[in-house]
Amino acid sequence: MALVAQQIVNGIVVGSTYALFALGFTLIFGVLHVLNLAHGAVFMWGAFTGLFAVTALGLPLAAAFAIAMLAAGLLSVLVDAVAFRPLRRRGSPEFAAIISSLGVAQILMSAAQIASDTQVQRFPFGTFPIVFYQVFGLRVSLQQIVIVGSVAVLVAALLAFLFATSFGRQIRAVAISERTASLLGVNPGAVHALTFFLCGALAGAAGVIIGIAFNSVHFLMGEPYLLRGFVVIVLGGLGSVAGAVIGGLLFGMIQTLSVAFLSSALSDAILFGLLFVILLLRPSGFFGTLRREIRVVRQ
Amino acid sequence: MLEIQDLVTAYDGIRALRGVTLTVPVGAMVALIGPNGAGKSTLLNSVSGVVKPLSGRIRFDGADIAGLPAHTVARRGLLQVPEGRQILGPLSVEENLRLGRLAAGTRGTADIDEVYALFPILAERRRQEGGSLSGGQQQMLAIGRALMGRPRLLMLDEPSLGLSPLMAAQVFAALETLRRSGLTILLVEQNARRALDATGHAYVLEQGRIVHQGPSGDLARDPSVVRHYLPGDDLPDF
Ligand SMILES: Nc1ncnc2c1ncn2[C@@H]1O[C@H](COP(=O)(O)OP(=O)(O)OP(=O)(O)O)[C@@H](O)[C@H]1O
Ligand SMILES: [Mg+2]
Repeated sequence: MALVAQQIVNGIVVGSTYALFALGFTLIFGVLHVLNLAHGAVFMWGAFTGLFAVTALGLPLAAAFAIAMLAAGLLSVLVDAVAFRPLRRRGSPEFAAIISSLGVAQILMSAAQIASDTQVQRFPFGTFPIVFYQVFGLRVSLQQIVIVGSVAVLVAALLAFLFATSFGRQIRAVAISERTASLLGVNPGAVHALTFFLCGALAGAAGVIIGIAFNSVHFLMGEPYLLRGFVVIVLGGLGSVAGAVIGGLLFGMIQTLSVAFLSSALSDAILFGLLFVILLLRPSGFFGTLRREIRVVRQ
Repeated sequence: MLEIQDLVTAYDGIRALRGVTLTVPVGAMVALIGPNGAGKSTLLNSVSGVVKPLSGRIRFDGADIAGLPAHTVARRGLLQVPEGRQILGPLSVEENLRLGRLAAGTRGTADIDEVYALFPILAERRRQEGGSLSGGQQQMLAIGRALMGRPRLLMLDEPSLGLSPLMAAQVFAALETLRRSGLTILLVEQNARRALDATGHAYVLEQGRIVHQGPSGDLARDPSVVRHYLPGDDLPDF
C-alpha cells in the first residue's frame, strides 16, 4: 500500500510536468485550432536556455528559469510568425500548418544538435540541493516539492490571466470566434502572438524543470514530450485548460504505476493504447464538459 | 458620416456587390432592405473590414477605410451588430459587455450601467452565460456590447431576425431611443415594414445593386417596393 502511495506521489510530480507542457499545447489548439508540432522543440530550447544561463552566465536557478521562460516565449512567437501566420493569411487548411510546424521543429532541433554537438548536457552538480523528507512514511524530495509547487503557481497564474484580465478575455473571445472578436475591436494578430508567447513560456518552464529533474538536456528531449502531450490533451479534451492539467496528472500517474508494477517496456504501449481507446470511445476527451471555458466553436 | 461609392465585393470571383453607392449622414437612421442573398450582410461586412472589397470607396468621417482590418474599423467607432447576434456563448453577459469596451479606445469607455438601463434584463442576467439567453435577450446583449464601444455609427444586421413580435418591438423601441439620443444608425432588415417605419431614409438592394432609394415614407408608398417588400399592405388610395 505504501508502495502504491509512493508511486502515486511520484506520478503526480511527473504528471505535473506533463500538465505544464500540455497546457501550452492545448491552449494553442484552443485559440488557433492547430496542432503546434514545434511545441516540443520550444520546450527543448527552453531547457537549453536555462542550462546556458546557469553554466555560461553563472546565474542563480530562479533567474535562469525566468530567462528560459522569456526566451522560449519569444521563440514560440517566432514559430507562429514563420510557421503559422503566413498560412493563416492565405486561409490554408489546418493540415498545412501541421506540416509547416513540423518543418520548423526539425530546424530548431537541428540547430540544437549543432549547438550541443549532439551531446547530452548536464546542469552542474549542486544546481539544485538534494534534500529528502519523510512525510507520512513517504519519501519526498525538495525537488519534487518545488516542481509541483512551481507548476501549481504557473497554472494558477495562467488561469488568473485567462479569466480575470482583459487580455485573457480577448484570448477566450478569439478562441470562440475570431470574426466576432475582431468586430468588437480585438486585434486577432496580437492575440495570436500573445497566446504563442504564453504557451512558449510555459513550455520553457517545463523544459528547465525536466532538464533539472533528469539532469539531462539534449536536442531530442522534446520528442517524447510532444507525443505524451498529445495523449494528454486528447485525454483532457482538445483546447481545455483544466483538461490538460487533469489529463497530465492522470497520465503521469498511469505511467508511473505501470512502470513500477508492470514493466517500463509496457508503459508506453499502455499509454498509447489508452490514446487509441479514447479516440475510439470519447473523441472529445473525458473532460469534455470542462472545455466550456475555451470551447472550440467553428463558425 | 459614412459614404460608400461604387463598392464591389466578390466571393471567389462571384460578385455579391456590383457597384453600391450609399450615404449615411451624421445623426441619421438609414434603412437597407432587400431579399435573401441581395448582399446586405456583404455590404456591412465590407464596411467593417471582415471581407475585403474589390474596388470602390468607403469613407468614414472623411477618411478612407476600405480594406482596413476589422478591429481597426471597430476602434474608429464604426461598430457592427452582426447577423445572428454572434454572442460569445461561454462568456457571461457581463464579460460580453466588457469585451465591447475595447472598441471605445481613446473615445472613453461607455458605462456598463447605461447599457443596463437601456436593457434591464441584461443586468438581471449579468452572471449568466451569454449563450443561455433567449434570442431577444441575445440581440439586446449584442446591441449593448456594441454600445460599450461608444459607436459613432452603429450598423445592425437584421436585429429582428427570429424574434417574437413582442421582442422585435422591444428591440426597435431601444433603437428609437438610441436614434433620439443622436446616434447615427444603418439598419439592415428583411422586415421592410418595420425598417421603413423606423427610419428616415432607405435603400433597396437587389442582387448587389441599389434599385430604389429615397425617404422611407416615399418608399413605403412606392408601388414597386410595396409589391415586393410589403406583401399584405394595400396601396394607399390617392
Ligand atoms: N462567405 C461567403 N462565401 C461565398 N459566397 C457568399 C458568402 N457570403 C455570402 N455569399 C453570397 O453572396 C451573396 C450575398 O449574400 P449576403 O449574405 O450578403 O446576402 P444578404 O442580403 O445578407 O442575405 P440574407 O437576407 O439572407 O442575410 C449571396 O449570393 C451569398 O450566397
Ligand atoms: Mg444577411
